[in-house]
Amino acid sequence: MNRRTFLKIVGAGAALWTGNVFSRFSKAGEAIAQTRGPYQLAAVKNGSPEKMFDAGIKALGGMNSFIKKGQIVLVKPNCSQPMGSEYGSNTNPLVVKRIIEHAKDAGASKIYVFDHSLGDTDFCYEQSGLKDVCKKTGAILVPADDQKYYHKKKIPGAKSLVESEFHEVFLEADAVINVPVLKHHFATQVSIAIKNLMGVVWDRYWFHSNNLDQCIADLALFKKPVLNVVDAYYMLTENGPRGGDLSSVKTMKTQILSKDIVAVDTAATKVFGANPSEVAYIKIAEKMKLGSMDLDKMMISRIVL
Amino acid sequence: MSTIPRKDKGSRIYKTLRMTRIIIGTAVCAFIGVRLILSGTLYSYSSERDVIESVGGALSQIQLVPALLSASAGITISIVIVIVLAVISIMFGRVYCAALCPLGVVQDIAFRIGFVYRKRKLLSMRGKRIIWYTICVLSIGSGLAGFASIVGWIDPYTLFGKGIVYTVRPALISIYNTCIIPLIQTDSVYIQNIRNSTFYLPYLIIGAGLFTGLFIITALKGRIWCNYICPVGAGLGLISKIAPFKMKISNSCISCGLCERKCRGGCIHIKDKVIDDDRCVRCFDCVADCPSGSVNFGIMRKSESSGNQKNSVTRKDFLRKGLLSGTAVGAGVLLPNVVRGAMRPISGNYPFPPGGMDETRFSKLCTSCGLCAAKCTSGVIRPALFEKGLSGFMQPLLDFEKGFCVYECARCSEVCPSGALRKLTHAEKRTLSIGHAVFEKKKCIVVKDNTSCGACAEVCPTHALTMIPYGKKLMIPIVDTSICIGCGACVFQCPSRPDRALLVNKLETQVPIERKIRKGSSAPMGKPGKKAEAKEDFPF
Repeated sequence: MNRRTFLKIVGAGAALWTGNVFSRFSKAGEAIAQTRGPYQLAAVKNGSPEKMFDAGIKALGGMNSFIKKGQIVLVKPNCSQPMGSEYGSNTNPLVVKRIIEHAKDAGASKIYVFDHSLGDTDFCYEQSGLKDVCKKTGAILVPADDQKYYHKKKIPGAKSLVESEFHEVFLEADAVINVPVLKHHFATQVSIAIKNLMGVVWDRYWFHSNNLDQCIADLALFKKPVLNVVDAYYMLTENGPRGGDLSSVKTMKTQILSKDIVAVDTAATKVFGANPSEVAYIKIAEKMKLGSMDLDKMMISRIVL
Repeated sequence: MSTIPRKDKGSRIYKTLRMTRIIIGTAVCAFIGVRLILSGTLYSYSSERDVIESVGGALSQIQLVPALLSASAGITISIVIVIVLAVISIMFGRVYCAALCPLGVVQDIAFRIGFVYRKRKLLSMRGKRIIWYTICVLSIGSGLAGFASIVGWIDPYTLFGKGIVYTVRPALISIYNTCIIPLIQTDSVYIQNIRNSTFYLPYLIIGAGLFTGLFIITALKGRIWCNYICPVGAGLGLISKIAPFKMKISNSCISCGLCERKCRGGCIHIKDKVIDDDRCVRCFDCVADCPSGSVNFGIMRKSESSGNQKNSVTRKDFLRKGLLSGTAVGAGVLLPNVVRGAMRPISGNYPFPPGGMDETRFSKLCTSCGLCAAKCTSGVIRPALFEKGLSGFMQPLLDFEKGFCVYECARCSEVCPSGALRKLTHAEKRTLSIGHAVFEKKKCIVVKDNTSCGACAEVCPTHALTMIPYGKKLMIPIVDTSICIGCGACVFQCPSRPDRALLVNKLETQVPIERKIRKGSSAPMGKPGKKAEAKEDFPF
């Protein structure tokens, strides 16, 4: 070993040590921040889907502040396409898994998972990895391709979508955790949290012919999710909502969490690189007082792992 | 007489033969039947299901008429199967009818049940075979003339298939959905209804009627169908006449009549001590049960055949008959061709299932057994009524009001026993174009109601259908036929009524598209991800 290599090793070691110390400091900072009061929105970056959720939910005060003991919980991912999440059109199953585990720890009495997909739901469940996740965690994966599960309900305050047929599990759940994926959508620019709720009704195509944007916003009135977790680990940048081409996918390693469905959509739209005020259904949803688009007035926890 | 030795040892061999026949027959009926009932799934089958699919598949491939059609299309395995079946029949006679024909087994079950009512009745079948042979000749003729669906109305395997797919299957699924699911589902176990994709009430009623009729006739009168109508039976019956191995009654017969009462083929005439070789299906009941051991199965020498002489065929006789039937087949080919000219297929604009490759070839080979319709994962395949003309009656077509051809699925092409659908790999299926979508602007709700939509673009698997600006704020679809596979997803999802704004024009020859997914078709706003990626921080 000559002097140069020795110096290199020492230098590298020193760099590692300082990095470690700093990261400890930043963790301490987080802890302090949390004691200052819960954040309204958490944005997490550069971690595995599970780690990002752990960090995000901690910043928002833990799962216990969203669901109570004994509640029936519905986790509603986006599982609209028969593909793995690496294609960017389905929610990452790892996030769903972590959410189920947190919900279990928080004392949920029953955890449902379902999405009314765009094809054969069973096949989408299998291909997306949700089936495995539910088998491992013991959550109940509910079928959705059968109209017998859907019941007609009025939506108070709705302008266009006055009534719709809702899946009985969505009606039964005490708390809905909305877990959309952030992706491109040719008709609405982006598909995020509000749009993800379209997977709880039977007849989606009615929306298309009756002012789609208004219908999407109306739907969010019916039952507000207690928590929205936007998965932007893989992001479909074009040819949405279906995708199917890996070259259209960008690895973003990002997650955004909030109780406020409009805020979460606003933030995620910005991550996508679009202007939220140009996304019609988000604007309509804000007007209908479903949440706030003004991120500057919010307590936001920005976490880079 | 060079037969298998008498008495104990002999009857043991015969009983083994009969047991073998029963086991093989039950397996054929059960595997083919269960396979016809089970729906296809998009995800891979479980290992138990794989066994049913592969065994059932092999057993339906050895069905004579599908094998003949498939062999005529030049599929090697089917040529081998036909040769093996021919050799077996030339050696042993109509063993096919007793052991390998699923419709035969169904009739055997009916016959067994009917024993209670028949009691001591004799079932001698007599009379001329002219209708039987005529049907056989006409079937061969229409088969050769490319009228496979007409053959399908009389081929036992296809009738069995039709009966199961359009009668038994919908009935069972209805019972399962309405009676069984409520019993087995609980608060935490959700069981979805099975899509009753082959339920068509007229077909169900006709099928139920025909099957009940066949069941009753067989229960009371034995295998009437097989020995008066079935073309496969007629053909194999003729071959049976020259088969060296046959049943015969020796002089030790005590004329107790047990064999005649047991005979499902009605081919034993105990008074004359004669067995009709062409009506005998080789079920081995008579030889196994004869109390005096007088009925035997073996090679018969001329000098020995005392009672059977009347019925045996000399070579000259056979040649003469052969020549006659040759001429008749010729006429049989001509006749359907004339009829064909008279009733040209109405060329409805419905694509045929993927793997059919060429419409003429497909309609010549498909006997319309319904297997592909049962396996279709989206229920888009339905039997034709008269959309494809008389010759295409009940052949499968894709009806995009019922569903759409799922991009990830190639189940129909995997199961076809007659070679009408070529087996496609998933990669082949995804790039095989069966039609081209056509957009009719006038009917689109974007134009009609001035609203945004795009339901079609949401589901297009190849992105052949994309949205382009229309007016100031709206978007309408446009189809790039060079990458359209004609799956009909857009047609199925189109909310426009009464007429949908999209339709699929069928392709008479299915062709592969160049594999490409259109890029950046509907460009997102701004440059996605750039901002966020540029800095470590968040864009808000």
